[in-house]
Amino acid sequence: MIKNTVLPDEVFSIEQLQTVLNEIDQYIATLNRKSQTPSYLGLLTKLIIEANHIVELNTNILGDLRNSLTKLIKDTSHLDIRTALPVLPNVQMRINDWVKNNVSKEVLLSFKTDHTLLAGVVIQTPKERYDHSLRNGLVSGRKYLVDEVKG
Amino acid sequence: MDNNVLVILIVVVVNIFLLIFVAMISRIKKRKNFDQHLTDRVLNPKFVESLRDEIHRTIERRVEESLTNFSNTNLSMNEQLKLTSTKAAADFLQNSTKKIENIYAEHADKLSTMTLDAENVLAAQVDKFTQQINQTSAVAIPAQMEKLVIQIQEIQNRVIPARVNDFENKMSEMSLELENIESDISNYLDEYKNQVRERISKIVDEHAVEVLSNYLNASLSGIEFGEQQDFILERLEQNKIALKNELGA
Repeated sequence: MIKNTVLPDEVFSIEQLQTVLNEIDQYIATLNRKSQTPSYLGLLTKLIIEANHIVELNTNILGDLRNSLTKLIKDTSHLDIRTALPVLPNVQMRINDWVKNNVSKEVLLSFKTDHTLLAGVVIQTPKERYDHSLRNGLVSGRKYLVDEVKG
Repeated sequence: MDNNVLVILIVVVVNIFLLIFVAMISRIKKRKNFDQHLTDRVLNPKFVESLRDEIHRTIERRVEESLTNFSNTNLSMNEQLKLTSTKAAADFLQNSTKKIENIYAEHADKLSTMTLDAENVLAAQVDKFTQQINQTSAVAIPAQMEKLVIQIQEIQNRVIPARVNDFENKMSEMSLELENIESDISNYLDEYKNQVRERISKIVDEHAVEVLSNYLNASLSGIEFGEQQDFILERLEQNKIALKNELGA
């Protein structure tokens, strides 16, 4: 297994790593079927391979890389950013920069879309939830109404 | 004086004495009969006591029936009032219950007074007739005796229904007051519901403005006009310390 897996600056989210893992799985599958041409590896996967100084792409090395990335996902703290509308890639990078500079470099981000939020953002850590969504505002408003009526 | 005339005088005198003696015997017999009759019918403590007991039983029965009806009405009102859960309604219930208790106490006092009045009337009448009997000549005693009995029966028939009717009138007044209280409670609850509706309407309006303002200022302004990044970064900055404390180690 690769020790201290290195992630390039361009890779910072769970979703990106899931894509990389899928590409590695497909690539290993095509290697096992020797008669076929190896499948396509995306830019992020290639950046990770380069960052970890992997030269030869065989099933063993790619398997080690896959296991290392899986362990990295499991062992690293996650910061979920949930929004009503999808967050564009350039915005994701700005948010990643802010997190790395202000919170920690050892954090993986996760960007999810939830239309039921209506608007705003929900920030979720392993222990806390910071809900700045319109849906939460409406729920709070309902509680406010009940409290006001009860006097 | 001639001997014959003397004999006649002696016979006349003796007859006069005999007539007086017979009259005295007759009066004594009548007096004894009257005393026996008086003892049996009027001055007999058991007879008087039975009249008093009858008055007590009649009044107590009517009072108990009326109070039972009143108690049922009171319980029904309490059940209705329990349906309201607001503090204001509870306060109103407490005041109404106190008012009902006052009415209850007032009428209970009246009932007690009425019972005492009935007893006093009866006792006064018995005393009065006893005095009259003692002052009446022996000749008129039997007729007076019958009159006394009739009058006592009239008292029994007149006083007790009159008192009971008075009591029923009082209870009717009290029922009317209870109906008024019930009406007041109903009106109060209607007014309270209207106030709650108005309050909810006002709060909804105020809160709708607040939510819309937040939506426009914080949510839509960040997302709809291409400033999603700034909006998210502002929220991260807002929770920066907490995030760093949890994830920064």
